[in-house]
Amino acid sequence: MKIQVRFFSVTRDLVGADERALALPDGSKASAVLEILGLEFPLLLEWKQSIRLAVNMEYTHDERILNEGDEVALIPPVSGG
Amino acid sequence: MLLSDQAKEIISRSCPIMGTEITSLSSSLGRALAEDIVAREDVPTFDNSGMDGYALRTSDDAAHMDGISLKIVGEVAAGDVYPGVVGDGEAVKVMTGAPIPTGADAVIEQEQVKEENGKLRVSGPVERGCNIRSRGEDIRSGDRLLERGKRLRPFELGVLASLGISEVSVYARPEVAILTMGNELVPIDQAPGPGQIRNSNAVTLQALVHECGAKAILFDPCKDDEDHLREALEAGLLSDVLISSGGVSVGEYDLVLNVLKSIGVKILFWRVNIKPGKPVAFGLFEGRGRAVPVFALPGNSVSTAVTFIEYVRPALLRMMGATGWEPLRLMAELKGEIRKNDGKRQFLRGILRNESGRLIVQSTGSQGSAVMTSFLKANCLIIVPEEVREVTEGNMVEIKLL
Repeated sequence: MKIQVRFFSVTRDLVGADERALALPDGSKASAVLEILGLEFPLLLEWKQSIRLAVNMEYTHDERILNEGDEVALIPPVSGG
Repeated sequence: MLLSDQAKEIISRSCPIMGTEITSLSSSLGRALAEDIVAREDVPTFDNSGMDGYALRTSDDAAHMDGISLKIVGEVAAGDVYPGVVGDGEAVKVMTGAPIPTGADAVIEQEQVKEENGKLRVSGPVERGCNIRSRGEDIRSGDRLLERGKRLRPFELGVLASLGISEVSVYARPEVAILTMGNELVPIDQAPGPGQIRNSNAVTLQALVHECGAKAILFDPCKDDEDHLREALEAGLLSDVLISSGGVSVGEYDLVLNVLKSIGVKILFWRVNIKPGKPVAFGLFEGRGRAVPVFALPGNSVSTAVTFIEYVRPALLRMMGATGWEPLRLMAELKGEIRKNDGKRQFLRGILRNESGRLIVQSTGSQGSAVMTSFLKANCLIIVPEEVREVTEGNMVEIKLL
Protein backbone atom coordinates (compact mmCIF):
# COMPACT_ATOMS: atom_id res chain seq x y z
CA MET A 1 0.00 0.00 0.00
CA LYS A 2 1.04 3.60 -0.48
CA ILE A 3 1.19 6.13 2.31
CA GLN A 4 2.37 9.75 2.52
CA VAL A 5 5.02 10.73 5.07
CA ARG A 6 5.36 14.35 6.28
CA PHE A 7 8.57 15.55 7.86
CA PHE A 8 8.71 18.26 10.49
CA SER A 9 11.67 20.33 11.63
CA VAL A 10 14.76 18.22 12.36
CA THR A 11 13.37 15.23 10.50
CA ARG A 12 12.90 17.41 7.44
CA ASP A 13 16.51 18.54 7.65
CA LEU A 14 17.68 14.93 7.94
CA VAL A 15 15.65 13.66 5.01
CA GLY A 16 15.89 16.80 2.88
CA ALA A 17 12.23 16.87 1.94
CA ASP A 18 8.86 18.11 3.27
CA GLU A 19 7.12 14.93 2.39
CA ARG A 20 7.33 11.83 0.32
CA ALA A 21 5.34 8.79 -0.65
CA LEU A 22 6.26 5.44 0.82
CA ALA A 23 5.32 1.94 -0.24
CA LEU A 24 4.65 -0.46 2.63
CA PRO A 25 3.28 -4.01 2.90
CA ASP A 26 -0.49 -4.05 3.64
CA GLY A 27 -1.22 -4.08 7.34
CA SER A 28 2.09 -2.48 8.33
CA LYS A 29 2.29 -0.77 11.70
CA ALA A 30 3.19 2.91 12.15
CA SER A 31 6.56 1.85 13.54
CA ALA A 32 7.42 0.44 10.11
CA VAL A 33 7.73 3.98 8.73
CA LEU A 34 10.81 4.79 10.77
CA GLU A 35 12.23 1.31 10.23
CA ILE A 36 12.02 1.62 6.44
CA LEU A 37 13.17 5.25 6.29
CA GLY A 38 15.97 4.43 8.71
CA LEU A 39 17.50 2.11 6.13
CA GLU A 40 17.94 5.06 3.78
CA PHE A 41 18.55 7.71 6.47
CA PRO A 42 20.30 6.05 9.38
CA LEU A 43 20.52 9.37 11.25
CA LEU A 44 16.75 9.29 11.62
CA LEU A 45 17.07 6.27 13.86
CA GLU A 46 19.23 8.27 16.27
CA TRP A 47 16.28 10.55 16.91
CA LYS A 48 13.88 7.64 17.21
CA GLN A 49 13.26 8.09 20.94
CA SER A 50 12.13 11.67 20.55
CA ILE A 51 10.12 11.44 17.35
CA ARG A 52 6.37 11.20 17.78
CA LEU A 53 4.20 9.75 15.08
CA ALA A 54 0.90 11.20 13.99
CA VAL A 55 -1.41 9.45 11.55
CA ASN A 56 -3.85 11.68 9.69
CA MET A 57 -3.02 14.45 12.13
CA GLU A 58 -3.75 12.48 15.30
CA TYR A 59 -0.96 11.30 17.59
CA THR A 60 -0.72 7.55 17.56
CA HIS A 61 1.26 4.68 19.03
CA ASP A 62 3.80 2.54 17.23
CA GLU A 63 1.48 -0.45 16.97
CA ARG A 64 -1.24 1.37 15.02
CA ILE A 65 -2.04 -0.42 11.74
CA LEU A 66 -1.80 1.82 8.69
CA ASN A 67 -4.20 1.96 5.76
CA GLU A 68 -3.81 2.92 2.10
CA GLY A 69 -3.54 6.67 1.71
CA ASP A 70 -2.74 7.46 5.37
CA GLU A 71 -0.59 10.48 6.08
CA VAL A 72 2.06 9.79 8.70
CA ALA A 73 3.79 12.80 10.23
CA LEU A 74 7.12 12.66 12.05
CA ILE A 75 6.84 15.31 14.76
CA PRO A 76 10.10 16.92 15.91
CA PRO A 77 11.99 16.23 19.12
CA VAL A 78 10.05 17.35 22.12
CA SER A 79 10.46 17.15 25.84
CA GLY A 80 7.61 16.18 28.10
CA GLY A 81 6.57 17.08 31.61
CA MET B 1 -10.74 47.22 23.82
CA LEU B 2 -11.88 43.91 25.25
CA LEU B 3 -12.07 43.81 29.03
CA SER B 4 -10.37 41.06 30.99
CA ASP B 5 -13.68 39.67 32.27
CA GLN B 6 -15.03 39.53 28.73
CA ALA B 7 -11.94 37.66 27.60
CA LYS B 8 -12.44 35.14 30.39
CA GLU B 9 -16.06 34.69 29.34
CA ILE B 10 -15.05 33.94 25.74
CA ILE B 11 -12.45 31.41 26.85
CA SER B 12 -14.83 29.75 29.27
CA ARG B 13 -17.47 29.31 26.55
CA SER B 14 -15.01 27.88 24.06
CA CYS B 15 -12.97 25.28 25.86
CA PRO B 16 -14.14 21.68 25.54
CA ILE B 17 -14.24 19.35 28.55
CA MET B 18 -11.88 16.38 28.44
CA GLY B 19 -13.09 12.81 28.33
CA THR B 20 -13.02 10.60 31.40
CA GLU B 21 -10.94 7.62 32.46
CA ILE B 22 -10.62 5.20 35.35
CA THR B 23 -7.48 5.69 37.38
CA SER B 24 -6.03 4.17 40.52
CA LEU B 25 -6.38 6.17 43.70
CA SER B 26 -2.66 6.68 43.93
CA SER B 27 -2.59 8.42 40.54
CA SER B 28 -5.61 10.59 41.12
CA LEU B 29 -4.22 13.42 43.25
CA GLY B 30 -5.24 16.77 41.77
CA ARG B 31 -7.63 15.21 39.26
CA ALA B 32 -11.31 16.10 39.18
CA LEU B 33 -13.90 13.41 39.82
CA ALA B 34 -16.05 12.43 36.86
CA GLU B 35 -18.61 10.75 39.09
CA ASP B 36 -20.36 11.36 42.41
CA ILE B 37 -19.08 9.22 45.26
CA VAL B 38 -21.74 7.60 47.43
CA ALA B 39 -20.66 5.67 50.51
CA ARG B 40 -21.57 2.01 50.50
CA GLU B 41 -20.40 1.43 54.06
CA ASP B 42 -20.50 3.10 57.43
CA VAL B 43 -17.30 4.63 58.77
CA PRO B 44 -16.35 3.55 61.35
CA THR B 45 -17.93 0.14 60.80
CA PHE B 46 -17.88 -0.62 64.52
CA ASP B 47 -18.07 1.30 67.80
CA ASN B 48 -14.53 1.90 69.00
CA SER B 49 -12.65 3.61 71.80
CA GLY B 50 -11.64 7.24 71.43
CA MET B 51 -8.81 6.91 73.88
CA ASP B 52 -6.65 4.64 75.98
CA GLY B 53 -8.62 3.70 79.08
CA TYR B 54 -11.14 1.19 80.40
CA ALA B 55 -14.39 0.04 78.82
CA LEU B 56 -17.17 -0.58 81.31
CA ARG B 57 -20.91 -0.95 81.67
CA THR B 58 -22.58 2.17 83.07
CA SER B 59 -25.64 2.42 85.24
CA ASP B 60 -28.65 4.53 84.25
CA ASP B 61 -27.59 7.20 86.72
CA ALA B 62 -24.15 8.53 85.72
CA ALA B 63 -23.41 9.85 89.19
CA HIS B 64 -23.94 6.38 90.60
CA MET B 65 -20.64 5.32 89.02
CA ASP B 66 -18.62 7.54 91.34
CA GLY B 67 -16.71 5.41 93.84
CA ILE B 68 -17.57 2.10 92.20
CA SER B 69 -14.95 -0.59 92.24
CA LEU B 70 -14.28 -2.57 89.04
CA LYS B 71 -12.48 -5.83 88.35
CA ILE B 72 -10.23 -5.77 85.26
CA VAL B 73 -11.20 -8.83 83.25
CA GLY B 74 -9.15 -8.36 80.10
CA GLU B 75 -7.51 -6.16 77.55
CA VAL B 76 -8.10 -5.31 73.90
CA ALA B 77 -5.89 -3.34 71.52
CA ALA B 78 -6.73 -1.78 68.16
CA GLY B 79 -7.05 -4.53 65.59
CA ASP B 80 -8.24 -7.13 68.12
CA VAL B 81 -11.66 -8.19 69.35
CA TYR B 82 -12.50 -8.94 72.99
CA PRO B 83 -14.07 -12.40 73.04
CA GLY B 84 -16.12 -12.04 76.22
CA VAL B 85 -18.96 -9.90 77.55
CA VAL B 86 -18.44 -7.10 80.08
CA GLY B 87 -20.74 -7.45 83.08
CA ASP B 88 -21.53 -5.18 86.00
CA GLY B 89 -18.47 -4.44 88.13
CA GLU B 90 -16.11 -5.36 85.31
CA ALA B 91 -13.76 -3.36 83.12
CA VAL B 92 -11.66 -4.18 80.07
CA LYS B 93 -8.52 -2.21 79.34
CA VAL B 94 -8.80 -0.65 75.86
CA MET B 95 -6.46 1.18 73.49
CA THR B 96 -7.55 3.92 71.13
CA GLY B 97 -9.33 2.43 68.14
CA ALA B 98 -10.10 -0.91 69.77
CA PRO B 99 -13.65 -2.22 69.27
CA ILE B 100 -15.85 -1.67 72.33
CA PRO B 101 -16.34 -5.05 74.01
CA THR B 102 -19.87 -6.42 74.06
CA GLY B 103 -21.68 -5.29 77.19
CA ALA B 104 -19.62 -2.12 77.63
CA ASP B 105 -21.15 1.23 76.80
CA ALA B 106 -18.57 3.80 77.92
CA VAL B 107 -14.83 4.27 78.16
CA ILE B 108 -13.14 6.10 80.99
CA GLU B 109 -9.64 7.47 80.85
CA GLN B 110 -6.69 6.54 83.04
CA GLU B 111 -7.03 9.77 84.98
CA GLN B 112 -10.49 8.86 86.17
CA VAL B 113 -9.52 5.61 87.90
CA LYS B 114 -7.17 4.57 90.64
CA GLU B 115 -5.81 1.09 91.19
CA GLU B 116 -6.64 -0.25 94.63
CA ASN B 117 -6.01 -3.84 95.77
CA GLY B 118 -5.93 -5.12 92.20
CA LYS B 119 -9.20 -3.39 91.37
CA LEU B 120 -10.06 -0.06 89.76
CA ARG B 121 -11.79 2.63 91.72
CA VAL B 122 -13.79 5.06 89.59
CA SER B 123 -13.99 8.70 90.57
CA GLY B 124 -16.58 11.05 89.20
CA PRO B 125 -19.72 10.38 87.11
CA VAL B 126 -19.56 8.33 83.93
CA GLU B 127 -21.95 9.24 81.12
CA ARG B 128 -23.20 6.41 78.94
CA GLY B 129 -21.43 6.56 75.56
CA CYS B 130 -18.55 8.76 76.61
CA ASN B 131 -15.28 8.41 74.70
CA ILE B 132 -16.88 6.05 72.23
CA ARG B 133 -16.67 6.69 68.49
CA SER B 134 -19.87 5.23 67.19
CA ARG B 135 -20.39 3.21 64.07
CA GLY B 136 -21.33 5.53 61.21
CA GLU B 137 -20.53 8.69 63.12
CA ASP B 138 -18.21 9.87 60.32
CA ILE B 139 -19.85 8.43 57.22
CA ARG B 140 -23.18 6.63 56.86
CA SER B 141 -23.81 4.20 54.06
CA GLY B 142 -25.75 6.11 51.40
CA ASP B 143 -24.15 9.49 52.17
CA ARG B 144 -23.31 11.39 48.97
CA LEU B 145 -19.81 12.35 49.95
CA LEU B 146 -18.21 13.90 46.90
CA GLU B 147 -19.59 15.36 43.71
CA ARG B 148 -18.45 15.21 40.14
CA GLY B 149 -15.97 18.01 39.54
CA LYS B 150 -14.34 17.87 42.97
CA ARG B 151 -10.57 18.05 42.75
CA LEU B 152 -9.02 15.28 44.79
CA ARG B 153 -6.76 16.36 47.62
CA PRO B 154 -4.94 14.00 49.99
CA PHE B 155 -7.93 14.22 52.38
CA GLU B 156 -10.40 13.03 49.76
CA LEU B 157 -8.04 10.22 48.82
CA GLY B 158 -7.97 9.09 52.45
CA VAL B 159 -11.75 9.04 52.68
CA LEU B 160 -12.03 7.06 49.43
CA ALA B 161 -9.45 4.61 50.71
CA SER B 162 -11.30 4.13 53.99
CA LEU B 163 -14.34 3.10 51.94
CA GLY B 164 -12.34 0.54 50.02
CA ILE B 165 -12.49 2.53 46.79
CA SER B 166 -9.24 1.94 44.97
CA GLU B 167 -10.15 3.25 41.53
CA VAL B 168 -12.01 6.39 40.54
CA SER B 169 -13.44 7.84 37.38
CA VAL B 170 -11.74 11.18 36.70
CA TYR B 171 -11.40 13.59 33.80
CA ALA B 172 -8.40 13.07 31.56
CA ARG B 173 -5.41 15.38 31.66
CA PRO B 174 -5.08 17.54 28.57
CA GLU B 175 -1.87 17.50 26.63
CA VAL B 176 -0.63 21.05 26.17
CA ALA B 177 1.80 21.87 23.37
CA ILE B 178 4.13 24.73 24.22
CA LEU B 179 5.72 26.69 21.41
CA THR B 180 8.03 29.58 22.04
CA MET B 181 9.11 31.78 19.20
CA GLY B 182 11.70 34.29 18.33
CA ASN B 183 14.96 34.37 16.41
CA GLU B 184 16.61 35.58 19.60
CA LEU B 185 15.93 32.37 21.53
CA VAL B 186 18.45 29.65 22.26
CA PRO B 187 17.89 26.49 24.31
CA ILE B 188 18.75 26.89 27.98
CA ASP B 189 21.80 24.69 27.87
CA GLN B 190 23.41 26.92 25.28
CA ALA B 191 25.40 30.09 25.78
CA PRO B 192 23.54 32.93 24.07
CA GLY B 193 25.38 34.67 21.24
CA PRO B 194 25.22 38.42 20.63
CA GLY B 195 21.59 39.60 20.82
CA GLN B 196 20.34 36.23 21.98
CA ILE B 197 18.64 35.09 25.18
CA ARG B 198 17.92 31.73 26.69
CA ASN B 199 14.45 30.26 26.26
CA SER B 200 13.31 30.68 29.84
CA ASN B 201 9.61 31.15 29.04
CA ALA B 202 9.44 27.59 27.82
CA VAL B 203 10.56 26.35 31.21
CA THR B 204 8.13 28.56 33.13
CA LEU B 205 5.23 27.53 30.92
CA GLN B 206 6.05 23.86 31.13
CA ALA B 207 6.12 24.09 34.92
CA LEU B 208 2.90 26.11 35.11
CA VAL B 209 1.11 23.53 32.96
CA HIS B 210 2.47 20.73 35.06
CA GLU B 211 1.39 22.48 38.26
CA CYS B 212 -2.19 22.60 37.00
CA GLY B 213 -2.13 18.85 36.59
CA ALA B 214 -1.96 18.85 32.79
CA LYS B 215 0.73 17.34 30.56
CA ALA B 216 3.16 19.62 28.76
CA ILE B 217 4.97 18.86 25.57
CA LEU B 218 7.64 21.31 24.65
CA PHE B 219 8.80 22.05 21.15
CA ASP B 220 12.15 23.55 20.24
CA PRO B 221 12.08 27.35 19.96
CA CYS B 222 10.76 28.42 16.60
CA LYS B 223 12.26 30.97 14.24
CA ASP B 224 10.38 34.10 13.18
CA ASP B 225 9.57 32.96 9.69
CA GLU B 226 6.24 31.91 8.32
CA ASP B 227 7.20 28.45 7.11
CA HIS B 228 8.80 27.33 10.34
CA LEU B 229 5.97 28.84 12.31
CA ARG B 230 3.28 27.20 10.22
CA GLU B 231 4.83 23.81 10.58
CA ALA B 232 5.45 24.18 14.29
CA LEU B 233 1.91 25.41 14.95
CA GLU B 234 0.42 22.60 12.87
CA ALA B 235 2.33 20.08 14.93
CA GLY B 236 1.22 21.87 18.08
CA LEU B 237 -2.43 21.56 17.08
CA LEU B 238 -2.19 17.79 17.41
CA SER B 239 -2.33 18.25 21.17
CA ASP B 240 -5.40 19.16 23.23
CA VAL B 241 -4.31 22.76 23.86
CA LEU B 242 -1.72 24.94 22.18
CA ILE B 243 0.16 27.71 23.95
CA SER B 244 2.51 29.93 22.01
CA SER B 245 4.70 32.58 23.56
CA GLY B 246 5.98 35.51 21.56
CA GLY B 247 5.18 37.01 18.20
CA VAL B 248 1.75 38.46 18.98
CA SER B 249 2.48 42.11 19.31
CA VAL B 250 2.63 44.60 16.49
CA GLY B 251 6.23 44.38 15.52
CA GLU B 252 7.33 43.45 12.04
CA TYR B 253 8.19 39.94 13.13
CA ASP B 254 4.98 39.26 14.99
CA LEU B 255 3.58 36.67 12.67
CA VAL B 256 1.77 34.29 14.95
CA LEU B 257 -1.79 35.43 14.44
CA ASN B 258 -1.65 35.50 10.66
CA VAL B 259 -0.12 32.08 10.53
CA LEU B 260 -2.65 30.72 12.97
CA LYS B 261 -5.45 32.04 10.79
CA SER B 262 -3.88 30.53 7.70
CA ILE B 263 -3.93 27.07 9.23
CA GLY B 264 -7.55 27.31 10.23
CA VAL B 265 -7.50 28.71 13.76
CA LYS B 266 -10.36 31.11 14.41
CA ILE B 267 -9.00 34.03 16.43
CA LEU B 268 -11.64 34.95 19.02
CA PHE B 269 -9.79 37.86 20.52
CA TRP B 270 -6.50 39.74 20.34
CA ARG B 271 -5.50 42.41 22.79
CA VAL B 272 -7.10 42.77 26.15
CA ASN B 273 -7.27 45.82 28.37
CA ILE B 274 -4.68 44.61 30.86
CA LYS B 275 -1.17 45.40 31.93
CA PRO B 276 1.06 43.49 31.60
CA GLY B 277 -0.04 41.18 28.81
CA LYS B 278 -2.11 43.37 26.50
CA PRO B 279 -1.26 41.58 23.21
CA VAL B 280 -2.62 38.24 24.42
CA ALA B 281 -4.74 36.39 21.87
CA PHE B 282 -7.06 33.39 22.02
CA GLY B 283 -8.47 31.22 19.30
CA LEU B 284 -10.02 27.87 18.56
CA PHE B 285 -9.08 25.25 16.02
CA GLU B 286 -11.93 23.03 15.01
CA GLY B 287 -10.53 20.78 12.36
CA ARG B 288 -10.66 17.00 12.75
CA GLY B 289 -13.84 17.07 14.81
CA ARG B 290 -12.46 18.36 18.05
CA ALA B 291 -11.82 21.83 19.42
CA VAL B 292 -8.27 22.82 20.30
CA PRO B 293 -8.02 26.07 22.32
CA VAL B 294 -5.07 28.17 21.26
CA PHE B 295 -3.52 30.70 23.63
CA ALA B 296 -1.06 33.08 21.99
CA LEU B 297 0.70 34.73 24.92
CA PRO B 298 3.02 37.72 24.73
CA GLY B 299 6.73 37.01 24.79
CA ASN B 300 7.79 39.18 27.72
CA SER B 301 8.32 36.73 30.55
CA VAL B 302 6.22 38.58 33.11
CA SER B 303 3.39 39.00 30.59
CA THR B 304 3.60 35.31 29.77
CA ALA B 305 3.29 34.35 33.41
CA VAL B 306 0.47 36.78 34.22
CA THR B 307 -1.60 35.88 31.17
CA PHE B 308 -1.14 32.20 31.95
CA ILE B 309 -2.41 32.72 35.48
CA GLU B 310 -5.38 34.82 34.38
CA TYR B 311 -6.49 32.98 31.26
CA VAL B 312 -4.79 29.66 30.69
CA ARG B 313 -4.89 28.12 34.14
CA PRO B 314 -8.67 28.58 34.58
CA ALA B 315 -9.19 27.11 31.11
CA LEU B 316 -7.06 24.05 31.83
CA LEU B 317 -8.81 23.42 35.13
CA ARG B 318 -12.19 23.74 33.47
CA MET B 319 -11.12 21.34 30.71
CA MET B 320 -10.09 18.91 33.43
CA GLY B 321 -13.62 19.02 34.78
CA ALA B 322 -12.76 20.80 38.00
CA THR B 323 -15.46 22.84 39.73
CA GLY B 324 -15.25 25.00 42.81
CA TRP B 325 -11.50 25.39 42.55
CA GLU B 326 -11.53 29.19 42.23
CA PRO B 327 -9.60 30.69 45.14
CA LEU B 328 -11.31 33.13 47.48
CA ARG B 329 -11.08 36.74 46.45
CA LEU B 330 -9.03 38.52 49.05
CA MET B 331 -8.55 42.15 49.97
CA ALA B 332 -5.52 43.60 51.72
CA GLU B 333 -4.39 47.00 52.92
CA LEU B 334 -1.98 48.72 50.58
CA LYS B 335 1.36 49.90 51.83
CA GLY B 336 2.72 52.53 49.48
CA GLU B 337 0.78 54.01 46.62
CA ILE B 338 -0.44 52.93 43.22
CA ARG B 339 -1.13 55.44 40.49
CA LYS B 340 -2.19 54.64 36.98
CA ASN B 341 -3.64 56.55 34.12
CA ASP B 342 -4.13 53.97 31.44
CA GLY B 343 -7.63 52.65 32.17
CA LYS B 344 -6.30 49.10 32.15
CA ARG B 345 -6.67 46.34 34.70
CA GLN B 346 -3.21 46.07 36.21
CA PHE B 347 -1.55 43.09 37.82
CA LEU B 348 1.34 44.08 40.04
CA ARG B 349 3.58 41.58 41.77
CA GLY B 350 3.11 42.01 45.50
CA ILE B 351 4.26 40.85 48.90
CA LEU B 352 1.45 40.07 51.30
CA ARG B 353 2.13 40.01 55.02
CA ASN B 354 0.10 39.53 58.15
CA GLU B 355 0.96 42.36 60.52
CA SER B 356 -0.73 41.84 63.87
CA GLY B 357 -3.79 40.38 62.22
CA ARG B 358 -4.04 42.88 59.37
CA LEU B 359 -3.25 41.79 55.82
CA ILE B 360 -0.81 44.31 54.36
CA VAL B 361 0.41 44.20 50.78
CA GLN B 362 3.05 46.15 48.93
CA SER B 363 4.44 46.02 45.43
CA THR B 364 7.73 44.19 44.87
CA GLY B 365 9.20 47.27 43.21
CA SER B 366 10.01 47.40 39.52
CA GLN B 367 7.03 46.13 37.52
CA GLY B 368 8.50 46.08 34.03
CA SER B 369 7.12 43.27 31.86
CA ALA B 370 10.51 41.78 31.31
CA VAL B 371 11.57 41.92 34.95
CA MET B 372 10.99 38.30 35.91
CA THR B 373 12.71 38.80 39.24
CA SER B 374 9.65 40.82 40.27
CA PHE B 375 8.13 37.39 40.80
CA LEU B 376 10.86 36.04 43.03
CA LYS B 377 9.89 37.95 46.13
CA ALA B 378 6.21 38.02 45.26
CA ASN B 379 3.59 35.85 46.94
CA CYS B 380 0.61 37.52 45.32
CA LEU B 381 -0.65 39.63 42.45
CA ILE B 382 -2.23 42.98 43.26
CA ILE B 383 -5.19 43.53 40.96
CA VAL B 384 -6.13 47.13 40.26
CA PRO B 385 -9.43 47.57 38.38
CA GLU B 386 -9.66 49.33 35.06
CA GLU B 387 -11.31 52.53 36.20
CA VAL B 388 -9.21 53.07 39.34
CA ARG B 389 -6.57 55.78 38.91
CA GLU B 390 -5.12 55.81 42.38
CA VAL B 391 -4.95 53.66 45.48
CA THR B 392 -3.46 55.51 48.43
CA GLU B 393 -1.72 54.06 51.43
CA GLY B 394 -4.02 52.29 53.85
CA ASN B 395 -6.76 51.63 51.33
CA MET B 396 -7.96 48.12 50.51
CA VAL B 397 -6.93 46.49 47.26
CA GLU B 398 -7.69 43.07 45.78
CA ILE B 399 -4.96 40.46 45.77
CA LYS B 400 -4.61 37.01 44.31
CA LEU B 401 -2.26 34.55 45.99
CA LEU B 402 0.44 33.01 43.82
